[in-house]
Amino acid sequence: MDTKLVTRLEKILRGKIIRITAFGKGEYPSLWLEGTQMLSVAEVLKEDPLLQIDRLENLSAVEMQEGIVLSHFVYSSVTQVRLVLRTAFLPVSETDLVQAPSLVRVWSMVQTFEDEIGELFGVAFDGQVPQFNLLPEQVRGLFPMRKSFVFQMPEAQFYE
Amino acid sequence: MNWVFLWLRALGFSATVPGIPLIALACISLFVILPSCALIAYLDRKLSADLQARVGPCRTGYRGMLQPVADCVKLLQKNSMHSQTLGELLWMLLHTMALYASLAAIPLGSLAMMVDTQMSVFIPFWSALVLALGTMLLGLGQYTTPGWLGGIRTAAQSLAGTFPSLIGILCVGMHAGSFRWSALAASQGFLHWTMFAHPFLLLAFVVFVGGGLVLLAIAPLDGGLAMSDIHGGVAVHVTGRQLALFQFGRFYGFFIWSVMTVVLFMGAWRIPESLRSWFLALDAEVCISVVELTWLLLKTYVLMLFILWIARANPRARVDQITDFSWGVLGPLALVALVGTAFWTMV
Amino acid sequence: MSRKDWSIGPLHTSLPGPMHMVLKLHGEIIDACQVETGFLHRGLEKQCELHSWHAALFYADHLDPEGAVFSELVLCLAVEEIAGIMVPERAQSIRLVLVELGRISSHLAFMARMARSVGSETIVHYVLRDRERILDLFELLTGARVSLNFLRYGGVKGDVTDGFIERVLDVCDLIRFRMKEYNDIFTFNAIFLKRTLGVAPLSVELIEQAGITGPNARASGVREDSRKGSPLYQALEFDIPSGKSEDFFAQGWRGLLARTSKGCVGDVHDRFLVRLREMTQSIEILRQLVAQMPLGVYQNTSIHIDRNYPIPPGESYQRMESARGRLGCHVVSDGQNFPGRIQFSTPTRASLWALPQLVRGIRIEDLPVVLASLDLSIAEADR
Repeated sequence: MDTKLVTRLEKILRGKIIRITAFGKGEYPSLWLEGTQMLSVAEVLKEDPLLQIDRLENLSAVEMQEGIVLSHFVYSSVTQVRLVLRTAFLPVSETDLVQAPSLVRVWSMVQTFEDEIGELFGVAFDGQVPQFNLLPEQVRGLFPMRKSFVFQMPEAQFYE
Repeated sequence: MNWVFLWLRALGFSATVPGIPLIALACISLFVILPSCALIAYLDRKLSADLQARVGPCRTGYRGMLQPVADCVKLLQKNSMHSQTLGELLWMLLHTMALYASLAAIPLGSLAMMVDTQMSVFIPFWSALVLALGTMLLGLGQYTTPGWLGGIRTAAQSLAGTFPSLIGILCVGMHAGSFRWSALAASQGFLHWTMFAHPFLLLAFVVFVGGGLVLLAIAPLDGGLAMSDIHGGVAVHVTGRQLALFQFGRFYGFFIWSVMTVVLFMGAWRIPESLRSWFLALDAEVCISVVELTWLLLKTYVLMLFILWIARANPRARVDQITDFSWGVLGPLALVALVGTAFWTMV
Repeated sequence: MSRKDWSIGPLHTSLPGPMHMVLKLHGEIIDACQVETGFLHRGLEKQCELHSWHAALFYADHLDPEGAVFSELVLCLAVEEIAGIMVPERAQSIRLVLVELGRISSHLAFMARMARSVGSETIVHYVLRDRERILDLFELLTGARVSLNFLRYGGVKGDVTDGFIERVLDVCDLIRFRMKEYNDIFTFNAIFLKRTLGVAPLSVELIEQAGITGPNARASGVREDSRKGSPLYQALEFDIPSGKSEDFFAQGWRGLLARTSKGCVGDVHDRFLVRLREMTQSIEILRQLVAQMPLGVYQNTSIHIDRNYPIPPGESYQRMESARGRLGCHVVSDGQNFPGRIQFSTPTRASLWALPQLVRGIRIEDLPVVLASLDLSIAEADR
């Protein structure tokens, strides 16, 4: 991990980060954030002249014991800086939606990722109920990517 | 043969109307058009398979020669899935009209012409237009968007292709002095083809063939029947016997256009004079007819296969590009050819 | 002219796969369109979590059926990074040979789809005939033509057989030779140029908004390629071809003619040309790879991964350049013998997002051409 990058991040995001760890084997930093701070952190990162993080590569969601962890893999096309922004939300129950902030205003390419995570994990970004694009009718609203979901084979229908 | 005359009298024709022309029409359609259709269909598939590094039909008959027969039999025994709409009915009537009304006007030799008047050249042209009208009605008569689009495209293309081809006919008529088949043939020789007479007539040939391709929506200018975006356009829901009729109509348009081209521009049926007088001396007029018909059909087939070759090797042009080409390129060239031919003929 | 709504799909000849489009037409011009996908959602990512790590490779194969080796490789790279599994150099080299062959095969299939969309039947057969040679190579090495199932964590499943190298070089020569034929018949064909020049140019703003990567982006001048920064390709020299504005005169008088016609950077013809040139670059890479192929083992023999092998806890994100763009894979491990999460980030997703803006203003007849030129894979987008 680049210590200069870490110091810069701590300087511009003072008070908004929970902690900074290394992502995976330590190539670039991973920032753990509060859900409510996501949007402001994203804006700061995009506008900072030394970082200029303007692209999002991937947004993935994992359900772990901290809850549903959203990882935004972002990078800068100008300064070649790479980061991962992470936040976690605990779902209240198996069928309720989790509320998360949407970062479409900062990185517009996150839209498709948010749509998909919305319907697969049951996450409402900026309060918007997910549109069901991918899932077939039987599993809509059941949030199949959550660990609590178990796929039941539907009853076989015999046509006489 | 008596039943033919009885039938004619019953229909109200006077007893002196000969039944021979009717027999002749049936003969033409059975022995010239249908075999040509089969032959061209087979050669098209085999030759384009050669071009495309494939084999083509090879199972039906020796080297797949019975493939057209198999296709026809297959299509004839299929039923349509839905009842006929008004548009389809109109189309069938128009198609039948166009097909059988112009059969009499096809020239098939110096002794085998049934209609040899000043209007004889324009009758196959009219037939092509009616085919286009029928196709448009077929398309509009289907209550689907691809059919509607196909119909509109066909109509636009046919309108665009009419103008240059008509001018092309006028050029040749000017050069030959008349629009009779016999006069057009007489103005050419065995190797003295109209299209090589002077450069403006070569231009007229190009314009005529190009205009014909646009008018009849022959590949690669068949935007209205494109498979890639409108699933075949007008022919989307046409199956079975109607499809056989539709394909036959398309082939018929192509065929008569090619025959017209050969008669107008490519030497008609003219065989060497020495051969002709030798046959006459032997009192073998049937031989003359046969040889002339063969020579005419040979040239027609070569022209058709040449156009099919270009079609297979090239992508399909977009409909608005086709009409732009026809109005914007072929039209002015046609006018240039007309003016040039007029001056050349005068001088 | 009347305004009609035309709904096409999920199965339609102009569409690259099962997707539903509602077009708002104004005559023959498309004013707006609505895209709906999800018809091929198979729940691959969920399935990966229910079976062992070993089985995840088989699911990755089926992410994009035409580019099976890309997703296998990116998953292997991610898992190897988590578990710290070393891959022998020979295995890495074999993997890259397969990747580049897969890229050429995918681009050839793209050419066939492109030709079919403009109605040119002849070149379809030529291209597919040459693609069969590459699929034969796959079959020789891996036993399968499309779903290779050959990469394993720590190497590959088998070694390169006798004669494989010579055949790879033969295929390289063949494709190089055939490119001239394709250019003669198709690439600079007047009708093809008329149908593709100036049609649906992809602007750089839309690329940045949507996050489009791969040949679609490079055709508009955005020269980003994940291979250049990757340690796998460090020893190899190759170019990144991009849009019409560069080295177009190399194509001779026909290229000059095409350029002076009404084309612009990033149109359909550019996207086609970029993939043609990428095939040439892949051939160069293949030649370098087989010339430098190191001797050694083809698999990490110190470990044996089977159904019960646990991968230590950790996570990893790897990216690689597939034939369609940047393919990413995020793998999270709990320390058990089945994955915690495997997530693929596929390049087609961005192109699909940009599609409604791209087709605004084109004609219906241009729609299959534009869809074919974006090289969409619905299987990849839906997973």
